[in-house]
Amino acid sequence: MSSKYYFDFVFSGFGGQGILIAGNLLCYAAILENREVTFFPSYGVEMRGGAANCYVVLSDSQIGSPIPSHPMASIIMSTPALNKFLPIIKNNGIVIINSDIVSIKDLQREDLNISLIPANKLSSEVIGNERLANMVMLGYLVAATKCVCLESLVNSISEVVSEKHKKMIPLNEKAVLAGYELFQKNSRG
Amino acid sequence: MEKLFLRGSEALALGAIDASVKFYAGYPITPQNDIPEFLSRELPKVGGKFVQAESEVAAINMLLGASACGLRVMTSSSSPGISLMQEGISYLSGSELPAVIVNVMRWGPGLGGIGASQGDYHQATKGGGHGDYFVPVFAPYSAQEMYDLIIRAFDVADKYRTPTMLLVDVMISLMKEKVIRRFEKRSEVKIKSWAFGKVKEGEQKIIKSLYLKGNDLERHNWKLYEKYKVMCEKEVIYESYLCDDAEIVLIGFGMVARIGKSAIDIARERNVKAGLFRPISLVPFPEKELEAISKKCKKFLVVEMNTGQMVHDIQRVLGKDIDISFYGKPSSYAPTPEELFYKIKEQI
Repeated sequence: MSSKYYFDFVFSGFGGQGILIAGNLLCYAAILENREVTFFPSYGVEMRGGAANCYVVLSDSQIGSPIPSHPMASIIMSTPALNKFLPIIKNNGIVIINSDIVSIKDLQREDLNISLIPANKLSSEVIGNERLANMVMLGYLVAATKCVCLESLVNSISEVVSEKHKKMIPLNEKAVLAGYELFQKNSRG
Repeated sequence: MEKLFLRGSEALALGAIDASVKFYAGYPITPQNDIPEFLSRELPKVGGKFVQAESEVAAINMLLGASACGLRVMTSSSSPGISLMQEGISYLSGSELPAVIVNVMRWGPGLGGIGASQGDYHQATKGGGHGDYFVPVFAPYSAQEMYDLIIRAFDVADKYRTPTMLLVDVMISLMKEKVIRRFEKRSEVKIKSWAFGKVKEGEQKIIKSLYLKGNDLERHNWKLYEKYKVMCEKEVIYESYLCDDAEIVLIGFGMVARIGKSAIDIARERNVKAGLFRPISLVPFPEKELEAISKKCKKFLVVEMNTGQMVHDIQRVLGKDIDISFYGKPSSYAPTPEELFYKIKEQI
C-alpha cells in the first residue's frame, strides 16, 4: 500500500459551518482525479452547534486507516478545534485557521506552517455574506497543498450542493477561488 | 459500472437493493439508522416493502413470515436490538428460512454506549439463540465490501436456506468511500420452489421448526450440520497480506484489519517482517488457510476491539505450540496504526 501520492487532513469547527461539506467536496475532487479517498465524520453524542470535524485521506492506493494519528494539514474554524487538533498535527504540517472566528493566543508549535485567513471577511467581500467561509478555507488549502487541481475542485461543487440550492454553485465557486487566489498572493509575498 | 461516493451504511443498503431485497422490517437504533433511512426511501421505488415494526422482536418475526413466502428479506439493528432478535434467528435457522441480518455493533453489554466495538463476535459466531445451528457471518472492512458482502449474504442465505449475518463495525458504517456498483443490472431472484405461494392440487408445503416425532429432530439437526460442513468447504473468504515471509502475523477482522494494514506498512518500511490475516467469513472460519500460514510463521498477534473473543477461535485452530498474543481495545476509540505497529514490535 505504499504510495507516492498521499495526503491526510482534519477539518474542524462548529456544526453549521460547512466543515463536512468541505471534506466531502475535497473527496469528490480527488475521485475525479481517480484517487482513493476516505471521509470519516465525527461521531458521538452530538448536539446542534457542537463540535464538528472530519478526516479526509487521499491516496493513489488502498487506504488503511481512515483516521490519521497526525494529519499533514488542517482547516481550523473554532477555538476548541484549534486546542484539540494543533498538538497532533504532523511536524512541519500545514494549519489554516479562520482568524475571524478563532482566538489565537499562543500557538506553541514553531515547526508548523500556519496561515491565518480572514475567511469570513473574504466570504463577505466576494458573495455578500459570511456563509461560505468554509469554501474560502478549502480553496486556500488546495492551493497550499496542491492535493487536487483547482479545476477538479470547482467541477465537483455540484456534487455537494443539493438541487434546491443549485443557484449557490457559482457563489461557491467564487468563494473557493477567493481562497485559492489569496494563497497565491500570499506566497508571492 | 457506476462509481459512487457512499457511506458504508448506504453502500450496504444499495447492495441490498441490487440483490433484489423485497422486504425490510426493523426498529430504529443508533448507529445503524442510516440503513433503514436509505431503504425507507429507496425500497418502495423498486417494488419492495419497508416496515418500521413496533419492536425488534416483531421485525425478525415479520422476516420469518415474508421469507416463508419466498421473498428476499432483511433487517438491520445494533447490538441490543440484535439480542432481542435472537429467538427469531433461532427459529429462522430451525425453519431453514433465508434472511439477512445486519448488526452494526455498538458497545455493550446492556445498553452500553454508541461507541465502536467488536463485542458481539461471540454472539454472532456462536449463535445467540438457542439450539444447534450455525449462521454464516461476514465482516466487511470497506464501503465496497459492505456492498459486495450483503449481496453475497443474500446468495448464501438462499443457497443453504439459512439466515446469514453481516457483522459491521460502526466506523465502516460511517466512513465514506468510493463504491463501484458492480451488480446494478442483476437479474431477479428465481422463485423458490419450497416457499408458500401457489400449490398444485393435493400438494402441501410445511415450514416449521417443531419436530416431535421419533428421531425427526435428530435427523433435522444433522441436516443443519451437514449444510454447515458444506459451507466450510465452499464459503470461506479471507484476505492475507504480506504473510509469505512474515515473522509475525497480525489477525483482526473489520476495522481492526483495516488499521492493521497500515500498521503492517509501517512495519515493512522499518524492515519488520509483519503480515496481516483477515477472516472475512467469521462463520465458516478460515481454519485451513490460517493453519497453512502457521506452517511458516510461528508468532501471531490477535487484535480486537473487545477483551478477547475471536482469539479463542485462533487458539483452537492453531493449538498450544504457536505463540499467540492478544491486544484488546474495548473502547470507543479504534487503535491507531502506530499503536498496532508498537504492539507488533513488542512481540519480536
